[in-house]
Formats: sequence, C-alpha cells, structure tokens
Amino acid sequence: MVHHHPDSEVLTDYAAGSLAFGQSLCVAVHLEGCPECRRRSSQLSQVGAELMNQLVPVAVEDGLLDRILGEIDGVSALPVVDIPASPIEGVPRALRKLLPDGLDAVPWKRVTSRLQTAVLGVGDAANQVALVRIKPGGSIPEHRHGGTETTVVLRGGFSDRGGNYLAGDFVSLGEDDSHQPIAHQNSDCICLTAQNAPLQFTGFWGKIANPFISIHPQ
Amino acid sequence: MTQTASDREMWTELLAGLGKRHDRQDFIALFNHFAPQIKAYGLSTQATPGLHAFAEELVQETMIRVWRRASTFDASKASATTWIFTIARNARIDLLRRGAKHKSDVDADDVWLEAEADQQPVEELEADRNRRLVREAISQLPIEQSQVLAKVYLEGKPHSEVARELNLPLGTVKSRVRLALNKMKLLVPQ
Ligand SMILES: [Zn+2]
Repeated sequence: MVHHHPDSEVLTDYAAGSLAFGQSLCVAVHLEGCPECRRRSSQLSQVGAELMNQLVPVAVEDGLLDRILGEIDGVSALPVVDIPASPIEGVPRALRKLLPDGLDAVPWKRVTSRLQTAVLGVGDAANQVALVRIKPGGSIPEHRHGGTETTVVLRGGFSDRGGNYLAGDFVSLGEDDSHQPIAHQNSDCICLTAQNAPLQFTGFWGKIANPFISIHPQ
Repeated sequence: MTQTASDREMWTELLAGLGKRHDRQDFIALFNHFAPQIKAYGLSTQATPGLHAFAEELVQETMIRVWRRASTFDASKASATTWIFTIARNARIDLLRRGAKHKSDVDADDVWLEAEADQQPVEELEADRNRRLVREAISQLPIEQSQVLAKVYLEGKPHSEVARELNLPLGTVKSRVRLALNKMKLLVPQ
C-alpha cells in the first residue's frame, strides 16, 4: 500500500506528456503500485484527448494516406510483444529494459561505505537519472536541491522529516526543500531518482559524501 | 468541432472493429477523421524548426501505431479519442527525443502506455458522464485557465515552463490548472 503520491501538477504534466522523461519514469514506477493514481492519470489523459478533439482540424498532405497504406502493407497488425512475459523479480515494468538482469546485477559505484549509486542512461538531457542504494540505517547527507529531485522507492524504505517511504512511494522536492533521508534498519533501501540540477549539501558530511557531486545531466 | 455522443461511439466501434478484422477501409475511415486532429496536435507543439514536416511525421507515426495496435484496443476501457490521443502523445515524445538524438533503449511506451493499459473497465454510463463533464467544462473555461491547459497538453510544456513563459508564479499556474480540473470533477476523491 503506497502512501506518498505525485501531486496534481506532476500527474497532469505526466498525462500531458510534458513531464521530463526521467521524472516520468519515476511516476511510471509509482503508478504500477498505485491504482488510484492510475485511474487519475487516465482521466487526465481524457483531458488531453478532449483538447486535441477541440482543435481546428488541419488537412494533411495529399500523398500521406497512400504513404501510410504502403507502409502498413507489410506490417503485421498483431500486437507486438517486446517485453518478456514474466516480469523480472523486483523490477518495475518501466525499468525492465534498463535493468535486464535485475536489481542485484546493477554495477554500483561506491560513494561511502553505506551509499552506492548507478547512473541510468535514459536519454534525458535535462535530468540525471540514477539508482541510489543506502545500506540499512545509512543516510544521504542533508542536502538542498538546486532544482527538482524526484524519487520513488524500489525496495526497502527510508525516513526523512516528511515521513516514512516504502516501495512505490513517490516524493518530489523542489528548490527550497532540504532533507536527510535515512534508510530503515532492516534492509537495503534502493530508490530511483531523477534530478535536474546538482544537489547542494548543507552539512559537514556533504563535503565528503556528495553522491552526485561528479554527476551532471548527460 | 463538436461531436455528439453517438458520433464518438461510432469511432470507438470502428476502432474496435479494426482490431478484430484489420480491414483497410475501416482504417481509412479512421484516418480521414483523426489524421487532421493529430496534425493540429502536432502543429501546436512548441515551435521547432520544420514544424509542418514534424506534424506530418507525427500523423504517419501515430496512424501506423494505431494500425499495429488496434487489436489491443478495449472499448470497455477507453474511447477511440482518448486511446488515439495517448498514442499520438507517446509518438510525439518519441519523435522529439529522436530529434534531440537521445540514445536510449527506453521509449515512451515503456513509461506511459502500460500504466494506463490495465485500467479497470468503467461502467459505460459513468464513462459517458465523465467524458461529457470534461468536454463541457473545457468549452466553458475562462481564458486564463484554458490557456495554461493548452500550453501543458498541446504545446507540451510542464507547469514550470509555462510559469516562466507567462511570467507568473508557479503557484498561479498550478492553481489555474487545478481550478480547471475541479470543474471537470477530476481531482476530487470519488
Ligand atoms: Zn499514487
């Protein structure tokens, strides 16, 4: 049961297709575990459909239909199954192509003894997308965000002053938010994060333990 | 362009039929109706060089996806209009990403389609009521609300970018969108 959801701004941008790809990936992971947000997201897609429907139609070029008919001639009309039928244990559908061998085969990079990260190449020029793994009881130093940091929990859980976050929970922090997530004691906490600007660390530990210090949007 | 409920049902039935029979005549009828809408949607994308060619490419990409995936369309879960919008939206994301030369195995369908695909079927009456509410509310929105909705959905700009462009505080953009959605009864819990 998830308790922390994307707000209406994030969900609307997502349904409109205007949310950055990296953040959308985090939303997709949340939706997989949250029927309520799935329902809202599909309602928000209806809004887009109505807006498209109310645009003044624009005639397409003369040859377009013939070109398309020529293309579909050789194209199977059957559904294309490009995703393995059996989901990989613990990997949300949206991440399957990025993590074909599961969460345990991720090439982690050590940041501190309790903190590891792995950058994911999702082709989002505006966001750095990465997995973060915190050992039981470990923490990410207190930090503020130069831009937006979006996080969704994949495994385990963490706490910060905003509450308790477990698998599927979603949190988006803006420029002025500061927090210090601490992993729960009983297991590793693995999160997916997307951030559109480097973090600014406020505490002493930040100077030596900035997990993202050498990472910039690519 | 206004349409009656039965017009819409007709397109939804036609699309469901295309999924079962793969008849080119059905496809052509759907093309004739939806392609000019998809083109208008493509043209409203935030200005890029070659916008006209982009819009034509979007129509082509979207309609080919419609042909290939028609058999996955489920009329008990979505109307043709909504289903085709989500396909056009994803195709636009992919075309824009391709244009920006982003190299990645992940595409929009990994991040958008499935999330909505497993919707519970909605009671037909409820779905009709929702669609009517959304349609009526959109046509009656004050200009400052319809403007931000159009920027978010049609131009493809996130709230933050709309705020910068209109020189408004982010909170103002958020509340305009929320007011609009409230009129469609979309953000109030059931
Ligand atoms: Zn949710």
